[in-house]
Parts: sequence; structure tokens; C-alpha cells
Amino acid sequence: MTAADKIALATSLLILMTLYVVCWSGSGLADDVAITAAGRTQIFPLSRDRRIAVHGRLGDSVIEIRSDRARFIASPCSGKVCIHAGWLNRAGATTACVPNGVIVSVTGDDAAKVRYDAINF
Amino acid sequence: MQRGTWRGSYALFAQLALGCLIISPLIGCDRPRVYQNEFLAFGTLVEVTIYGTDRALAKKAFAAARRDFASMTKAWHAWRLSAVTRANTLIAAGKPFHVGPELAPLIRRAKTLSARSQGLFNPAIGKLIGLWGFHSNVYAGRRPPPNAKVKALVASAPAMDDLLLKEDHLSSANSQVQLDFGAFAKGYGVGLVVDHLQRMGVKNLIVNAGGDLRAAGSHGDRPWRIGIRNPRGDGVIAAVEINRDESVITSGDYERCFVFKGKRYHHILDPRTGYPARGATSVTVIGPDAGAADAAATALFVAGPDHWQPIARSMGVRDVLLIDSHGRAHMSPSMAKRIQFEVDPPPPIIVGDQS
Repeated sequence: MTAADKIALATSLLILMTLYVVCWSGSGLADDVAITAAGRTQIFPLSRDRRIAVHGRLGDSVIEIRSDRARFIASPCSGKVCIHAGWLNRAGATTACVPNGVIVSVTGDDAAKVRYDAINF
Repeated sequence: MQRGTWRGSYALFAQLALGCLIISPLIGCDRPRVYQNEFLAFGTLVEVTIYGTDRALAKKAFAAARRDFASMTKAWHAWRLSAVTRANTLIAAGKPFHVGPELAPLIRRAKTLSARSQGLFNPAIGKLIGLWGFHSNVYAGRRPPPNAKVKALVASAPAMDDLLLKEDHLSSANSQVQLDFGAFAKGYGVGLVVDHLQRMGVKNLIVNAGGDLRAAGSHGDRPWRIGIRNPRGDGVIAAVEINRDESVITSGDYERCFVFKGKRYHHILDPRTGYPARGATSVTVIGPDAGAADAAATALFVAGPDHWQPIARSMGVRDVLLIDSHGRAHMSPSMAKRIQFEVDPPPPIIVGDQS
């Protein structure tokens, strides 16, 4: 095999590897958070830390976005199941304050490396 | 010679690059992906997860699931006008009546499961559930009802055995029976929705309505992986893999509850005492039938850490995890083999006899 063959082969392999990484390996990293309340969905980037109050059936739920994660920190429900659900930090992770009708869902790449496909709560 | 070699290399390079370009969309970029849709139904968050179909079928399946859940929530609601509340009015009036196809199969199945649970799963105690204030989505400021009222309802002993369903005609030997399928309808409904989506051609899916889910197929080359919520504290306590069509149902005391004078009062009532069942904080049952597993999770929660095994046997349930109020994990041997704890340190484990 000549040097030219080697270069051609190496370049081809590089293209193949790049395609593999781009196409096959979903990072599972979260990008945005979708907050649905009263039938309206708002999208926020997880890259910017902030607190968002949304108005639900009972009152305001507060969702905190910090360090690429999101969580409920306040909600006018009695069980506080939404707050105990803790941080959502992977694509596909979802929790809700059912009494207040607020759904928080983390969106992003194809969730290929998620730890759980569903949580029994 | 040298020029000829370069020409050959160009040709090889071109062939390889072309091959990559042609093959990559077929094998790589068009790989199956996960579609997920969330909505509220049955007073809980419903998530439908689909793998390996095209986008159009996933969208159709999500719409079908939403429609099915909406119609079931409407038909089986325990306190808003529904087929169930209509039946309750006629039972209280002491008159036999005709029940439609939206209710008759549910009653039939619940009667069988209630008998097998030795009455610990009892959807006839709707009055008691209402007395405790669980016929509402708001529990703030709640307090336990007067003991005398609780005892009077327990003494009236409403049971599924009181109901006689002959063809489509229902009569009740006890006018105190009031149906509330809260411990059953979600699991039963999840089972029906998965059946429907499978008939539409969806093979790999999870339908998760709060603590009640059924999973079928797989996530491509790996099984579905399900997390079980920690009943005390945040996050997940354990995980299981689902290798075939199975349902994972969890009943917990954290779902619908209120705190009065420092004590937690939850919605899983013991039909024998009229009070919230004590001893367990959550029960997870895995089984082939979502409705049966839902009824079993409630019955085993009521039975508690000392008495769950005979009930599991009589209900034909194999895979059980019960977390007790001291944080200990009671399990059947078959559950112990498949479960993986996700907390460090893991809880103290007590493995029972196989049912």
C-alpha cells in the first residue's frame, strides 16, 4: 500500500467515524425546558440560570433553572410531589404538579443515554 | 507508475467516500428514535414513550392515547358526573339498572380481583374515600373525619360481593356500596391503551400514568429501564429492566395525602378499619396484567409488611417490593433477583418466600 492509499484510507475512516459520532451517539444532554400550564407551553434554555413563575389552576408554581438542570421549588399543592421529584437534568425527564396542572419537561437530544426510560412515581 | 498509483488511490477514496455518503443516511442518521408525549389524565401525569416507529405513526398513537385517556377519565371519574357516579346514584336508590359497556367489564374484573385480595382491594368503599376528603384535588387544611362516622361506614361493610352483575343488569344487596375505581382504573386503563397502540402497529412503547405503567418491546437493542420513586426523599430508589410485555405498578402514601398535627393521612384506606393503612410507604408490583397489578399493589399496601405474602399468593403476584415505614425493603425472591437499588447505601433487605 502506498502513502497515497494510506492517506485515502485514513481520510475515509475519519469521515466514517465523524458520521458515526454525529449520527449514532445521541449525547442525552438536555438543551431546553418546556413548561406547560393552562394549555400553553413555553420553552426556556437550560443554559441560563433563572426562576420562572407560571400560573396554574391553583396559583403560581415556581421552576428554577440552574446549572443545566430544572426543578420545581414552589407550588400551591398540598402533596409537594412535584418538588420532591427533584432535579430534571436529562433529555426526556418530566415531572408535573398535577393539582396545579403544570408540566415541566426537559427536551434535548434523542435521550439515547438516559438512565431511565420511565419513572414509576 | 507513481501517477497511476495516485489515480488508483483517488478512485479508492472516491469509492469509500461515496459509500459512506450513501450508507450513512440509511444506517446512521435515520436511526430509530424515541418519541415522547405528556399530558394530564386520571388526575396524574401521563407519559407515552414510543421507539422505532416513524414520526407519523407516533403522532397518531399519541392522539389515540390522549383520546382514550380522556374518555376513560370521563367515564370512570369517582366524583364528577360519570358512568360511575350515575351507577352510585342508582345503587343508593336500591334499584337494579342497566350498565353500559364502558363500565360492565371494569366491574366484573374488579369483583374477581377483590375476592382474590380477600377484600383488601375494595372499590366499593367510595363513601369512606369521600368522607376522608379524597374526592377532591385539594387537600390543604384537611383533617381526619370524626371517628364515629368512619366506624359507621366500616360497619355498613360495603363490598364488591354485594354487587350482582347479571348480563348487563347490576343490582346491589347493600345500598352503602359506592364505587370508586381509583385503585384500579389507572392500571386497567393503561393496559387498554397499550392494547390499542399495539393494534395500531406500535411494538416498542411505555405508557406511564403516574405510578402505573406498562412497557412492551424494547428500546432497540436494550431492554426498557424503569426507575421506582423513592417514597421518602427525592429521586429514584431502585430500577428494573423490562424484557417482555409487563406492567410496573407502584402505590405510595405520598401520592394523595395531607398532614394533620404532624401525622400523614394518605388515600390508601384499610377497608377493615376505615383509616389509612399503616406499615408500608410504597408497594411496587410487576406483572403481566396492568389492572391486576394495580389492584394487587393496593391490596399488598393495605396488608402491610407482616401480611403481604399470603395476599400476593392468593392474587397470583410474583414480583413484589414493599418499602416499610422504617425504610426496609421487603421483597419476593423473584423481585430480589431483578431489582437494582440506586441509593447508597441500599436499604435493609428482607426477602420473603416465593409466592
